[in-house]
Amino acid sequence: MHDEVKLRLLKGDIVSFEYLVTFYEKKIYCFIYNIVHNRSIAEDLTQDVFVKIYENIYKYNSEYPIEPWMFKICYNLTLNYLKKNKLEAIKLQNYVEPGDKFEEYITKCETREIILKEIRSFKPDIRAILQLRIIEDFSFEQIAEILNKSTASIKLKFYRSRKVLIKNLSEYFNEVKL
Amino acid sequence: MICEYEKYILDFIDGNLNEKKAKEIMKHLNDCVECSAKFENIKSIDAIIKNELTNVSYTSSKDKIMDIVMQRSSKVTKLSRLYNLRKCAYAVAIIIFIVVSIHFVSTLLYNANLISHSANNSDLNKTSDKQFLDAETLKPLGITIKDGPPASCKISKQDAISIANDFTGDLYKMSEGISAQYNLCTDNGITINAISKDAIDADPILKSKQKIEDIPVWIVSYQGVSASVKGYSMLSKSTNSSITTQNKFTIVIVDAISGKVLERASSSKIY
Repeated sequence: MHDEVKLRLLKGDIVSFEYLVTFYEKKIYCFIYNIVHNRSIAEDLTQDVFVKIYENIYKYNSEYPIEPWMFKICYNLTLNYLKKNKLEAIKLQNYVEPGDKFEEYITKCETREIILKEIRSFKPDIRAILQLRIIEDFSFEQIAEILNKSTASIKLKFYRSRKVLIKNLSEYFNEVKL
Repeated sequence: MICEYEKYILDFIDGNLNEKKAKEIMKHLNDCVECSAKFENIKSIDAIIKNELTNVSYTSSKDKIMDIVMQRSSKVTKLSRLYNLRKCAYAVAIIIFIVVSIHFVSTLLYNANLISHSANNSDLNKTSDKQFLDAETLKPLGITIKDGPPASCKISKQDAISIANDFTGDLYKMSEGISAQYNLCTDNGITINAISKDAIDADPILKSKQKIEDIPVWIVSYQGVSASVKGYSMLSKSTNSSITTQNKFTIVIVDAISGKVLERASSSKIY
């Protein structure tokens, strides 16, 4: 993002903020959705995240990239939601989307469903770490800052969970044993 | 048979290996078909994961978001201004705090220094208002003195004594009495070259005269000690330059404008 846009954002400029929403809405939505696995909740949380970003935009330090700062707000709101609604402990691997019949869900268990099933088997913080590292390509330091944890613990969680993920998915796709 | 390098492939992809090991694996991947296939499999799984996690169908909420944001824009603008004002206020407060702290500490140090000097002098009870040296006493040393105008004196008496004490080391401890007198001093036994450049540059009067002639000075005298007294290391560097008279004394001439000791004004008289 250009410095000029950042400076305008800091002053609460609406046009610059609209640009920000256009650019990041899907990323934020996907991040949330892959943690909560509910479209309606993900949509509501995405709105909340952007409103919160706008309300706090003047606190953003423009010397640093904006993405980690946004994802920190996003992660905190999502985690708060899960805690507030006591969803953290729910095992989501058998989660069925509203409208899906269980039989349909079973028959749709193709690539996407297999991957989502594996992702859902992890706790929310691991889901967040995997996404931030694999999709957003953040450094471990940035992820540690977003999740408010130490870099060492983030590395450990990432490598462990990734081994499990690849092992299980390899069995599905390639029968590769790692 | 399982290849021994197989267990390193995932760490290699994740950048979790040191440089040496990573190079080793990279080289091995060119040679081992099995490991190379595993490497490609993991990369393709990664691509699938990335694709599936980002390929989520969604309906944009941009309009809803912007509606809410528009309603709150004036509030955010105000908050932003307040926040910036507060940041400025913090910065100003920090600067004031630093300035006040520096002033406070320097005042403390200055007072401590004064107390220390004062304590040294008062303990010895040697400082005297009496002028030990009259023109007659100084004449044999080639020094003539005149009363100087007080307005031209920038260095106080106490400061002059402190400067001289610092200059002479422990001499004042051996002295029977210390006095300082303010005079216009002329020293016929000294050339300008004998005075440090630092001292000349610091005093415009001295600079303009090119020699010690009617220069406002503090003549700090230490009674009962001469330059040859043991421990007076500063002056003992030049053994032929000690000042010893019938009534032993040592003088230090301090420039009353700059506070510099005219220590290089030596010849055989003054150091």
